[in-house]
Parts: sequence; structure tokens; C-alpha cells
Amino acid sequence: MSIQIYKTNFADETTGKAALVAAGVWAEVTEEGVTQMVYTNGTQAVVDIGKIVKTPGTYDPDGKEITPPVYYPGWCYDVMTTDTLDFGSNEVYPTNPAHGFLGWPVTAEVPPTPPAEEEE
Amino acid sequence: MLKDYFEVPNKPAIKSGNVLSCDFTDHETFIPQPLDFTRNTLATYVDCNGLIKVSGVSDTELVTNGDFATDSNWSKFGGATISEGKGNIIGDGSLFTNLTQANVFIVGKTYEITVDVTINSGLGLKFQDGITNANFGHATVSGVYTFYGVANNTSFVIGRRTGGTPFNSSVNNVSVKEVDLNVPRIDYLTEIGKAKELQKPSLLLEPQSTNLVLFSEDFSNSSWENISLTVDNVNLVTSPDGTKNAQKITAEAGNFRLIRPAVNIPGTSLTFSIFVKNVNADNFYLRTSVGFSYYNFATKTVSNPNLTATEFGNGWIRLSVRPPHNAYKQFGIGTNESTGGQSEIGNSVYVWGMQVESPSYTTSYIPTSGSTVTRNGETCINAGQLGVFPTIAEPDGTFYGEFKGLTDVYGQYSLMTINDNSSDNLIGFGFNNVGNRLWIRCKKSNATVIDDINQTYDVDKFQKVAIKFSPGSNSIYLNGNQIKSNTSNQAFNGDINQFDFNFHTTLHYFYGRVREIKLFRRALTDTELTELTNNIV
Repeated sequence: MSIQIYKTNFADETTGKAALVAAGVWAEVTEEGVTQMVYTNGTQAVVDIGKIVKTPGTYDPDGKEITPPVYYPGWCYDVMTTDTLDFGSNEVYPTNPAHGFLGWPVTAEVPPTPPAEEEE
Repeated sequence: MLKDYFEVPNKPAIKSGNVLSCDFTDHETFIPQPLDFTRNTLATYVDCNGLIKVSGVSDTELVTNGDFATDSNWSKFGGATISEGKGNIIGDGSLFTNLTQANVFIVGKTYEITVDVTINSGLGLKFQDGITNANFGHATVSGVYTFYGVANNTSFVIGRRTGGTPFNSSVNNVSVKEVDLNVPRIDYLTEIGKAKELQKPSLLLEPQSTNLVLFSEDFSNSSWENISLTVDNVNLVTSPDGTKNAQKITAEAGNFRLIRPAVNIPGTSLTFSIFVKNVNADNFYLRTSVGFSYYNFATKTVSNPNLTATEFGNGWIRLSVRPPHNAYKQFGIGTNESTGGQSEIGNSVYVWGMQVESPSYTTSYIPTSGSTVTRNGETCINAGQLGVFPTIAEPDGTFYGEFKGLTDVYGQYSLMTINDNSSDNLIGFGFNNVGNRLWIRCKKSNATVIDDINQTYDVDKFQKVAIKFSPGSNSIYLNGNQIKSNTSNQAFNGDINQFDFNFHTTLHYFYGRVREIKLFRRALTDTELTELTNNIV
């Protein structure tokens, strides 16, 4: 069983959640009156990372925001799975990742597909 | 000779990928056979000495002379030297200056590397095996680092990070240990302070959680905003994990005294916690929705129920505040950040291991050093042994467990069951999704035979629950008392075939502490049930 880690970026949280459902990563299940997201297939974890801060905001000593933070575009999820998945252009390869799994290199992720060589 | 009882978990039976063994079955008791255990990350636990350890990290040191006590065991390339108890990697950038030790790794295995790094100048150091560039990681500033990675080669290399630029760095206390990501945890948090012979550890199962702070053990790092609290990151003291990596903070003069993440962690539904050990302060606060919650070191009391203080060994206390709380997660010496700290100027407290996480309760510590870090949820399922479960033909039995909650407000079901891989025929117990209530139920043919889902519980105590199910005679015992009984004759329409720490399939995983599970293949007598569930000890 080989573990794969995918780092993804979607337009927003809802889009990302739906894309992970479509990819068979998780599903919404209701039982005993409780609805929850349940991991499906080989999914080991989905981490809803959210927006990544590009420039931190500033705050007064009371915690009130003086200047808002600036975020990178999009909403990020990390997925650990035993499945081979294809998130297309939504898969990202950050050089300084914001998140890791305990016991794994923070840069652990499926390497990008090398570009096809141009035919002469 | 087989024992006539069994305590779950049994420490020698714990190994990677499963929990429990079949060594202790007897003529009438079904012991869950090896459960399929997965986590696929490391996790921390409290050992029998009260120290926080990482489950799955081998005790065997794989590096020789990691403290550079002698000029040996390391191959020195490109001008690297060993002197004065350090490995020195100094050069003008023209060569790949490095220290290499052969035969450290086995290809394909995962390792933990810890190292003290001093960067005097240059672009830092990288840590790798013999063929893969920086596959364990790199260090660009001085500090204690922990790296993880999979080896593709047997040699361990510490080298200058980038060529072409002069560099001056050194390393010390280099350690390499093999890592197994699927080792279950036997935890002693509830047993701290007890004599060894009285300790009864428990199998700890927790949900997925992410520590959202970037440097959980280094409050001098720039990822923390600090107002008028001096951090001593040189004279370190022994932390709850038994190593010298805890820092002292001292209150200074000023209008405010606080430490908080420099980048705000949004959300008011997060739980945060920190380990503290007093030096000479009166109080220590964590900011909450009700203003400030603080712990008084002299009286060992908290200012309000939102704050929990859990004692660890050696004077350390873990302070935890439950949500909701103020958007900013900050702490400091005193009863609050301003006037409540004026009398504490000059006072000090040791601090270590801050954690901000999304479960509504505090979970085991997750160390971070540069990024947020996730410990995966644990699954422990699929124990089965043909012929031991109740069936349509042989429907009698008693299912028993001793377990403890992680919180009094789960927000979702947290259950362990014997089942037929559906909820049609199922017997189990655990915690209700609505706050502070147990969930105890026996279902046959998709109809409830007997249940009780409204019993409140003391989150600080283990619960002993037994369900007797026999056509015409069903009962539930809790902590020595019968709380329900009836004479239902409802029959199974399917055979029970597995034990899971969940509802069935992938739903409602059990998260908590478990000391013992038993399935008897007969209906116990009232006297036996009372004795079995007696919770006096």
C-alpha cells in the first residue's frame, strides 16, 4: 500500500470540497441523523488548509486588526491517500509548504508529471 | 495456560498495524483478534514515566558519534572538520562540503532525524541520503530541527545547502531513528502520579487534528508576536518530553504582556493549549471568550471552567481552553495581558508545546517546526474470529467494555460495536453525538432490543458498561448498577461477524481511551454483571 500526498488549490472551499467528492476522496454520509464527510476509497486524510497567508496582517495588542492579511489566491486542501488521483491544474507544488503530516517531510507529495518532450 | 480474563490493550501485543493478540482467549470469552490499525502518521503519547513520547520512533540510535565527541565515524569531504564537539561545515562555496556516515539507512524505510544546527553565515545546511537532494530537509537558521523522510540510499549526508556562496555552519547532537507510522498508542496520561504497580494504561484512539501554530516549541521564533515577555532560548530546561528544549519567559515592564502567533489563526471554534511550569509567577493566562482564563500556581486552580489544567510529571501542567474564544490565541504571565500582569513584572514561567487545533477538545500534543502539522485520525477495526460471535442460531451473549471519553461534548457519535457489517444487527456503546451522554444499544433485525442513550458521564472517569442480550432477558449495567432491562424476544436476522472501534463500515469511529473489551458467549448472571462493571476501583 503506497501512500500518496497531494497538495491542491481550488477557487474556493465549496469548489474544492465538491472536486474531492467527484474524485472519490470523500463523501457526505448521513446515518443515525448525523451528516458527516466520510473518507472513501483509499483516503487516509483530508486537511482543509484554507487560504494561505502571503503577507501577514497587523493587529493591536487587543487583537484588533489594523491591516488585513493578504492571501494567495484560492483555497487549499491536502489529501493523503493510497489511490492515484489526478487533480489536473488544481494540484500544486509549493516550495515552502504551509502544512505537513507528522512523520512525513513537509515537502512530501506526488511529484509533478514531467512535461512531454516536444516532437521534432 | 490461558488466562480467564483479558485487559485491553495488552502492551506486548501492540505492534505496527494491529492491536491485541489472540493469546488470551479462553473457553467462553472472545477477545477481539488483531484489529487492523492505521494512522499513517506519527503521534505522541504519555509513557509510564509521564513523559511525552512519539509512538513509532525506534529507541535504537542509528548514528554513531552523533555528538562528535571524537573525530571518527564520519567521512569529511570538501573541508568539513570535527572539533570541539561539533561537526563543522565551512567553505567558500566552491565545493560540496559535507559530513557523511555510511550504512545508516535501509532503503525504503522512514526515518526521523534530529539535529542541533548553528548557522553563522551562508545559506544553510541540507540533510539527505547519499543520492537524493535534501530529501530530509534543510536548515537556514540556527535551531533544533526534526526531519522525516524515506531513504533511497544507505548513507546519511549533512552538507552545505547551496554552492557558490561562502558558508559557516556546524551541527551537533545528530540522531537518526527508524520510524513506523502505524504503531498504536498505549497511553499513561490518566496514570501519572500512580505507583507503577497500580497503573492501568489505555489504548488511545484520537481523531484527525492539525496543530496550526508554526513553531510549537520555539517562542523566540519570528512566527510569534511578543509584547514585553523576554524569551530565554539559550538556557533551556527539561520539557515534558524529557529533553532540554523548554524556554523561560519573563514578564517585562509595559502596558501589555503577551505572546501570540504573528499570523493570526482565524476562527473562534478552535481549542488551544500550552504546557507551563512555574518559576516564580503567581498566575498564567490564556485569552478566552469570557475575557481571560488563568491558572493560579499556588492554589492549583483555574479561574473558570473554560480552562482545564492537566498535571504532567516534573511540575509541568498543560493548560487548555475550549472554544469558543477570542479570535486571537494568546497567553502570558498574570491574570490578563495588561493590568493583571503588572504585579508579575520580573516573574518567569517555563513554556513549551503550544497547540491550536480544530477539535472542540484538546488532543495529544503535535509538535511543529515551520509548518502546520496533522496527526491523522486512527482507525482500529475488523477484528473477527469465526465461531465466537453471536448468531441467529446461538444468540446469547454479553458485551463489556471499560472506556473513557476525551471530552464531555463530542458533537458526533463515538462508538465501538460488534456488528454484521451493517446497523441491522449490532451491539455497542460509546458516546452520543449530543453532549455528555453515553450511547448504549443492542439492535436485532434493525429494531432496538434495548438501549440507553441518555446516561450522563463523568469525563474524568472510566466507564464500565455491559450489555446482556438473550432472547427474553436483556439488560444494561453501568458502573455496577443495572440501568435497563426488558424481556424482548427480538431475534437476529443476520450473524454478527466483527468487532470494530466504529459504528460499522467507516462511520462514527470511537475516539477515547479503552482499557478492556470482552465479549462473553453466554448471558452473564446479575451477580456477574454487577461484579464485572463495579467501578469502585
